[in-house]
Amino acid sequence: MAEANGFIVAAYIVTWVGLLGYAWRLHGTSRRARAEYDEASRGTSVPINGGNSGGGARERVE
Amino acid sequence: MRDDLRRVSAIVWKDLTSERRSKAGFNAVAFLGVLILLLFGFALGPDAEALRNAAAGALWLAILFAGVLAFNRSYQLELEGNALEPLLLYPAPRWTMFVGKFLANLLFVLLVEAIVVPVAIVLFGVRAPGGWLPQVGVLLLGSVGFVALGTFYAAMASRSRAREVLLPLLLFPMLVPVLLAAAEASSAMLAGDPMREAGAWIRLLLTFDVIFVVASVFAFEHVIEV
Amino acid sequence: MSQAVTYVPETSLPAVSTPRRSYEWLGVVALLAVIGAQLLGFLTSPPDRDMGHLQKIMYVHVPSAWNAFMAFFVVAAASLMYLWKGEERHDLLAASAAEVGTLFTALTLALGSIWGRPTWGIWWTWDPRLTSTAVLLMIFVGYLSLRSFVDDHERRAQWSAAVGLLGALNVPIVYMSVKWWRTIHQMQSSPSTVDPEYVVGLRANGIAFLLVLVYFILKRYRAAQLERAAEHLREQAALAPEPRSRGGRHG
Repeated sequence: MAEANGFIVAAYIVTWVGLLGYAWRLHGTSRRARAEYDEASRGTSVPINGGNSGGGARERVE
Repeated sequence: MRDDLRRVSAIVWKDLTSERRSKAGFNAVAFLGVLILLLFGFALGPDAEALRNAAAGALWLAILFAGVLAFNRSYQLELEGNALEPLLLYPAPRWTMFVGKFLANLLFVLLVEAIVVPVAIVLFGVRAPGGWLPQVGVLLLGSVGFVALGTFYAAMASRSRAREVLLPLLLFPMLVPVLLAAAEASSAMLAGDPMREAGAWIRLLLTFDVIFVVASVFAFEHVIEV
Repeated sequence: MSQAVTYVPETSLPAVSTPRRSYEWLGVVALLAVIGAQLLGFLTSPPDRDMGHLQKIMYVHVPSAWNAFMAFFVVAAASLMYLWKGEERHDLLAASAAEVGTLFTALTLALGSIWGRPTWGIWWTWDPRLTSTAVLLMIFVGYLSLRSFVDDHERRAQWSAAVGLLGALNVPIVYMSVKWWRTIHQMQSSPSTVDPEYVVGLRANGIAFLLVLVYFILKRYRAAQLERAAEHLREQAALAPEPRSRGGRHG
């Protein structure tokens, strides 16, 4: 019976490792995506030639 | 309708004649099929009974592995010559292009089987108590399902990176039902069909063929345009 | 940047605004739900007469399986929507669901093995559900591989949608084939009925896992949208025509 308990423990460990592991990976992906977006929008909104933005994102300041 | 049929046959002819010019391609694929059978023999061991039981399965796997090589090639010729765009610009219904390629590929695969199957019969000591005709029928039906799906997935795989691995990766999971039905029907008939199950498998195989051919024709339109 | 600024890319993508709308609260809720459901399962279920405490593995294996197939359903539905409407966000949703679905499918198979070994002495059995799940994993992996090998966005979206839908067509067919296959060879089916005493624990875990699924997919989808929006912005900056002067923004 103890052997069976080992499998039960293994099952729950695998589950938690899987879920938390993916949650961690997702956290990284999400952060990178946000950083990429911030970077890209910063690049097109900051005036380069003294007041002209390169074409692209229209900007509305709220 | 007559125009469509003419287009289909034009594509079939085009595909086959370019294949014939590279006869080396056919020979290589057929020989690969034989080679795979040989390897199966070595892997499964010399016991005649075991080999006979495994014959149908081994044969189909040899056909699958050799056959996938043919599908990417059927688009290769257009891709190399940049002929795909002009072909697409031509205002023909896309299904004619699919059916044309499908028939050309089917003929190619059947010719490969004409070589591989006799070798399998010899190597695996196959005896057919129920006659050879039903076996040929199963072979034909299985090939139709195989080639329909193969022609469809190759339309994508041949135009992406890592085409050699992408085609089997996409295609093989889809072949499970056809493979199962064909191998089971063949095996049952080779064993004399003790449980009268072969008929059911053959009907199932026919159903799969209809489903997958129709699905491939519809889906082809979406993937060949982009 | 202290102001809230809305960037509206000149594309069909919806505006993505900061400060962000975050799904983290859902993540916390899901985490608590899973912990709660698992505790509930452990505390309320007596040992099964055949399997003993091994039955408790069902509380993670079955919800994982449900999640895997639900994720796949999302992939199929989103693929259909994409082929119908052509809106890129459906493609991104499908891809996100595929990634999460792969996780749960792999988890289902692993847990199925872990459960099967002490229960029947084997790591694998060719029963219809496990086999269909294995094929499902292959389809997911194929789907994601296709996406990684295709660079053009529209092509990738169209092809993924077709592959996703065909895969969805295939899974029930595989299931029926294997079921038939096993009946022919007279194999007994694996225990499928769940005793009523376990239903509460199973449902609780099912709901908790569903929350996790929704959280993962939404978060992945949001990340995919941001990545895509970032690409749009970069592309347009690169293709920018001569700079237009704008009032109100002088260096």
